[in-house]
Amino acid sequence: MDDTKLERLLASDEAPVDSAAGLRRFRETVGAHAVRGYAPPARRRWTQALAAAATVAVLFAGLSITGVADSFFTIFQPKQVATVAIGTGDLTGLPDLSEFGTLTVTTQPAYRQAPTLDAARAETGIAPLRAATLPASVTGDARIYTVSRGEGTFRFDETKLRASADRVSRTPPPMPAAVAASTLHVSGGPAVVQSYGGSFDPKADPRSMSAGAPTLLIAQSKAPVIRSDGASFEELRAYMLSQPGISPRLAAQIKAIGDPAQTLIVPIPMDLASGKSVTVRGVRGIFVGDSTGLGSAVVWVADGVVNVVAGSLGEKELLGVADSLR
Amino acid sequence: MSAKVIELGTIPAPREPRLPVAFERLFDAEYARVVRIAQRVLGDATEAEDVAQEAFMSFYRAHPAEAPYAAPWLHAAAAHGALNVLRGRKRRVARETNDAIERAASAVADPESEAVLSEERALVREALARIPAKSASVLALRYSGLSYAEVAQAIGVKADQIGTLLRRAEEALRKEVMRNG
Repeated sequence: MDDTKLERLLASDEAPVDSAAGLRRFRETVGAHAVRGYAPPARRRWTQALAAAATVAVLFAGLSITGVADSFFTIFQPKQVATVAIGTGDLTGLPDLSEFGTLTVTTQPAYRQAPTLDAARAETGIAPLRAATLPASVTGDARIYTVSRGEGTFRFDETKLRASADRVSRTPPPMPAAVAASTLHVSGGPAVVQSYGGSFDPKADPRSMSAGAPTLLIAQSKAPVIRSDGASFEELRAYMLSQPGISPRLAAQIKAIGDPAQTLIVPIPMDLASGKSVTVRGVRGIFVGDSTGLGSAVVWVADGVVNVVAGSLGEKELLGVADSLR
Repeated sequence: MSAKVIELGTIPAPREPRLPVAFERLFDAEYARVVRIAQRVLGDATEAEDVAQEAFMSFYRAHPAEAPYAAPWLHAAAAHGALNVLRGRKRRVARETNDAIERAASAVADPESEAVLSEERALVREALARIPAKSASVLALRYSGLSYAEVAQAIGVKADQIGTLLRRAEEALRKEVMRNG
């Protein structure tokens, strides 16, 4: 028996494979047994959570018209920070903003290392806070980085939304005319980052950060500002809350925020972390503790600057660092 | 605020469970090949589809659809899954083969040659179930039309080793067939 015959004997009547029917069957199995797909590891979900924070902040922060010279008016400029608890379902269900329009980065933020905090101050105009005391586990001098101001526009595009919905046979809620005609102008930074231990590279993929991650980060950034040339905050909020991916629980939390006009919202993944209100240097902020042991962070807003102290430290140590900042 | 803001999440479809777009693309690109790999081993389209569905389900639960190793992973899973099924059913197959030979004998123009072919096919598949798993996988993957490079990726060896592995596998299979034929 030669190899050709062996191969021929292993052949069989091969009817064409119906991939579409196979996919329907697969979807049915997933639906019938509530099979959960691949969940990214905790660190990656944190990245998603942080990006979600930005999404939520962009879309649900309040309206505070501050009189801008051009046709844009400010709809978001945080002066305080609050948390909303989100479940895994909320996280994966958040609308994909890229389906709603086009983001154009008009000024790419540039980052570079600065020799001293004074040099960083001269470059950014931000007065960097210095830690008076550090836990024993944090060793060596901080590396100092500056990030320049970044700007971009987000133009809503109903045609794009309809096209992406058609691809998955879905009918989205209609985009209100005021929203469809709007462009948002988003700006953030500049910022100063002090990094102890490991390495910090804002351009690196956060998913690739592992053992080399810093043990402590102290970051200060000019608060982001979002302006609109059309839709008001109320119109944007109503429209986004009508999306099928927004759970009623998440919507209720967002609506319950007392002063949405000036509140930076940080979503807390319930299964990974817990958040609570703290006072840092006389200002109300939030502490986020990571239940997986990866780390914790404290965030507060003061004088138009968002401050973040984060690291692989316990709550007491981290708050100690934050309170020692001068 | 950076471009990362827009990379988040999806809107779930209200009725049918919506799978990630990347996963559906992967399914569309690889499902037919995964079925064919399993079919080479099993000789049965229905069982091969079951194995393919299982392979995709295992991948769906534990791996990101955009992983660069997605296709080779699925090919290997199809070969392993089908070989497991084959080993589990080999006694049953022997019985069914006899039935098939009888059916063939009464239904085709040249009943004797069809019956012989069916018997030979059954023997080869039984032999495939008995040779080492790696050899059986190499044969299943290569005979289902994968290139040397694709077979190498699926079983995790260098492409220049495939020629040797394939020859050894064919030799092992031939010996196993002769031993029991």
